[in-house]
Amino acid sequence: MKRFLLAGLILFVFVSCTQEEDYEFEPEPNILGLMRIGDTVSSQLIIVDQSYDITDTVNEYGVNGATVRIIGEQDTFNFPDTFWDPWTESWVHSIDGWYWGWIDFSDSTSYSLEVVLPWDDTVTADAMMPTPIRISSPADSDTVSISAQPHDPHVVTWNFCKNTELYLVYCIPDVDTSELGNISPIFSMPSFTMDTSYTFFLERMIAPWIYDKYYVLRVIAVSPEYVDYMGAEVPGGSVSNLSSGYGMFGGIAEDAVRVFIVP
Amino acid sequence: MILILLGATITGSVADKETGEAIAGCSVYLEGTEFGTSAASNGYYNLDRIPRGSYTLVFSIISYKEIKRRVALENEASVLYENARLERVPIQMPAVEVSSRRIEFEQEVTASAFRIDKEALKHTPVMIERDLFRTLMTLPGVTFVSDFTSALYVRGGSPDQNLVLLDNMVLYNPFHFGGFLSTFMIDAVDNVEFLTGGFPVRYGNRLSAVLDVESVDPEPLGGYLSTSLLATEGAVWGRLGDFGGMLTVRRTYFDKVIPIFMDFEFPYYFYDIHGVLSWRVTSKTRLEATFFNTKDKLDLAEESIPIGVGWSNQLVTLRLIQELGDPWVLKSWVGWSRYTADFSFSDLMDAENGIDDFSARTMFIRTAEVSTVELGAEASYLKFIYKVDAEPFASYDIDGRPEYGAAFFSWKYKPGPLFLLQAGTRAGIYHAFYPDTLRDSISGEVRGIDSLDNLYIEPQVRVSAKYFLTADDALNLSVGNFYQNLAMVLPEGGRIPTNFWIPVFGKYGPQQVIHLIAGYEHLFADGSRIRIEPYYKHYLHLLAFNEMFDISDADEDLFSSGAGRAYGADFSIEKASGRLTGWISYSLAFSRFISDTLEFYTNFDRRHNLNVLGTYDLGKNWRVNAHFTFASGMPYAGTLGRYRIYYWDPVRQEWRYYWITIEADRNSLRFPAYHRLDVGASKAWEFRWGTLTVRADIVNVYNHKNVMLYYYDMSNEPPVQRSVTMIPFFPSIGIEVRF
Repeated sequence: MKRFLLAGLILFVFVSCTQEEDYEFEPEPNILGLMRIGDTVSSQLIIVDQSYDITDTVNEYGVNGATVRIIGEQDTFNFPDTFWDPWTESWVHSIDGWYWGWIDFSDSTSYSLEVVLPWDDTVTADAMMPTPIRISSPADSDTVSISAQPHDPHVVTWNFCKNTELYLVYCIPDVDTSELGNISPIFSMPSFTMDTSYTFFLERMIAPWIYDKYYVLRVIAVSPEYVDYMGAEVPGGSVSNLSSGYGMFGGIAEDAVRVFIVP
Repeated sequence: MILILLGATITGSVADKETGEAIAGCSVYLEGTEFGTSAASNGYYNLDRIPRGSYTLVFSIISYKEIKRRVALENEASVLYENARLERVPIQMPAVEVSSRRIEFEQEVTASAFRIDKEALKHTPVMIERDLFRTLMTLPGVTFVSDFTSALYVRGGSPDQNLVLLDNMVLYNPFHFGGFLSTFMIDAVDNVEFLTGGFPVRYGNRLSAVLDVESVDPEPLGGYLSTSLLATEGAVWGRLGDFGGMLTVRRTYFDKVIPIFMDFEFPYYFYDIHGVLSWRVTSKTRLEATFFNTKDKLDLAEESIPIGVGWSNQLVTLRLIQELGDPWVLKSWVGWSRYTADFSFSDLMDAENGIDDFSARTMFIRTAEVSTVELGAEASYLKFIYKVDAEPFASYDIDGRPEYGAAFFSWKYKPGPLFLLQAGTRAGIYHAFYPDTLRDSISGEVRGIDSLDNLYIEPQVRVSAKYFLTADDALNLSVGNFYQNLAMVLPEGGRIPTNFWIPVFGKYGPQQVIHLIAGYEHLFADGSRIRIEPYYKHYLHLLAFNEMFDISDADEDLFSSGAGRAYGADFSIEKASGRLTGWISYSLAFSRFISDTLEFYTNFDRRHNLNVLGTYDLGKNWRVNAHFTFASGMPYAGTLGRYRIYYWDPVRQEWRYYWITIEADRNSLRFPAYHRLDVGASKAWEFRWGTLTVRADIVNVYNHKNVMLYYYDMSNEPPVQRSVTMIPFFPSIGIEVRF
């Protein structure tokens, strides 16, 4: 009997020595530097945030106190977390983690994002920005007939943009932002193409158009970095081009015209 | 020394009085002496080195009336021939056959082997329904992943690594969704052999374990009807001259009962049909046929959940057992086994899996006192399909015609009372043939057809040895290599029971493992037993389902190829006689998958498994039983953190975000430990026409909420972790009428 007790004791000691690994969550930077190229864009935004433990309550939007800049071939552009408010004629602190600046991008320059976080980690990324986009057809205020025969596919065309992986085409009712929640979700779904033209209205013939109204036709040129980043819900997930953490540094170019939709 | 070797001999055979069949394992001994042995599988026995004198020769085995004879040995050179024909009697069975334990201990290398006979199964503590798999789950080295599946995970191996045989034909999915019941009905089963490792060369094409189930040999006219809250089961059997037959049927009604105890509908049912026919053609020739059909169906469409899951088994086998003349026996089988499974999710996805297995096996057995030889061969032709239709993301149709063949030779040698050797070799050949099957999901073109016609040669050597320290203590050692030419898609390691089989093809070669098992065992006089068995399994090539696989590239991405390690120690104490019977089993286990790119604990890596089972006979046909299980938490890939995906919304012309969760490395987190206590009681009344038994059981007496999975409710701030738990407190009552 003693030997069995001994064997049991050995087994118990063996058991006691086994230990499962503990897992501790470590936050990582989460930075979005999506540069917007277009006539309506007056300033660029870089959002500096982090990842959070799933059990943490997150009320704030991002990380304050970071040093954010974009470095071109000859110039460095700083992005402070304050901006000049012409109404109050004072410097105003932005939303937590939002950093503002202005750059006139060149299509042949590789830009470097550099973010020094308050805890001294530095995150970098390189990207080239899409060149500006111009919708050539239809023209602003043109009338588009949805029920036209298929031989007239209402092709939307635009110019070729450098540093672009694909183009998105939207046509959204020209309503106040507060009314957008009432429109059909189908209008929020873009069409994708890698060409500089698309038979958009032929594809959307069955959409729930409300006729005799103005719509905003918008085409967006998307850089490869943003395409990879937005793949969060497909196999492989969101791909970051930052040196560490989550996020992206890239750009989009936008143009829009108003079209009048008739049956 | 010469004097010691001298002595008289008593030899002969033991057979059933009615049928003439050999009674293997019958104890034959001289009363009041140390001389004794057990009859071999052909019924022969031999007692030697007996001093002259008068003795009482006893033939004894459970289920038969004992025979005692006075014999006289006049001198040391005497040879006495004593044949015995025993009469079968209905008697109260203890939980374990003592004599069969003794023969198993003396004549087999019992490392990792569990032989469970029908009577033992009947007297194992039961919860709600007697069930083979739930009994096997309590053995050392065996664990489980949830209450909702009865799949067996043996020594770090997944359920697809277990060879499950019914009358020597492979049964591909003997598990019912629901956990309480396997596809086997106890009264249709005779002997069960469960090998948790190091199994002999007559078994192949699996990596971890063997469950070898034999159908019952039909007895004279009888039957039973048993009903509980979950299922009704009935059987009839009979024998007419040389012909015998048995039919057992069962069907569940979960769909009616579960809503009474839980707040949800559960439109699920299954049924099982098991039939046996036997014909004693001559005294030396026997033909047996088995028919087996099971079906599971879960259809949530009427509950507005567009999910449908189903699977089924069909099996037909014909067996010939031919005595060729002492000591040779021929056993041959032909059979067909089909497994089908389907899964549908709304109109978005339809998946279908099916295997048709046409097999033939034959084996010559030569049994003798010192040396036993087995020589055999088998061949299988499989029709296999794995089809998924999930347009526009994926549509593929893997359609194969693999073939498998093997020849084996095994030799068991016991030169004396101290040492037993069992060595064998098995040569397998696997032809993975997939003609014109893999097509590009867009263009429809066949891809890589040349790479889908592969031939694999699979040499295997297995050696086991046993050294007897005393008459009751022995050391076992077993080493061998094993191949497997199939794998199973097991999402979440089997917690999600959509079990799709895929014979290896293309870039996925056969899986391989080496077993190394050492063991110590002690057998008590009453058949009780203690075992300690450390083991190490070195997986040279292992296929693990890729949880993150790209559905549009399934043939290249479905599995992760790698290696693995499983090691640990199994410990068991069994009490086989007396009013209190049962066992305690404990397993320490580690199981890891290793590849070039990832390494993780398998989903079923439970560090500690403890089972305590007991049945107490109160007398007057009252029995109470209890079963306590403790198992440390299983690994899972849970949520650790979250971050925002920021984006520019072109519609609203504003910055927006949504949350993405950060998952832990595969299987790096663990669920809380599982534990559960079940209790039950039964009372039998015996009448002239038969027996009426009423039983009551309670599952999960203290209503412990064992976690099956976690998820986060992201609508809260911070997100709230919620859990799906397993079987709660669940009482049941059952009635059985046996005639």
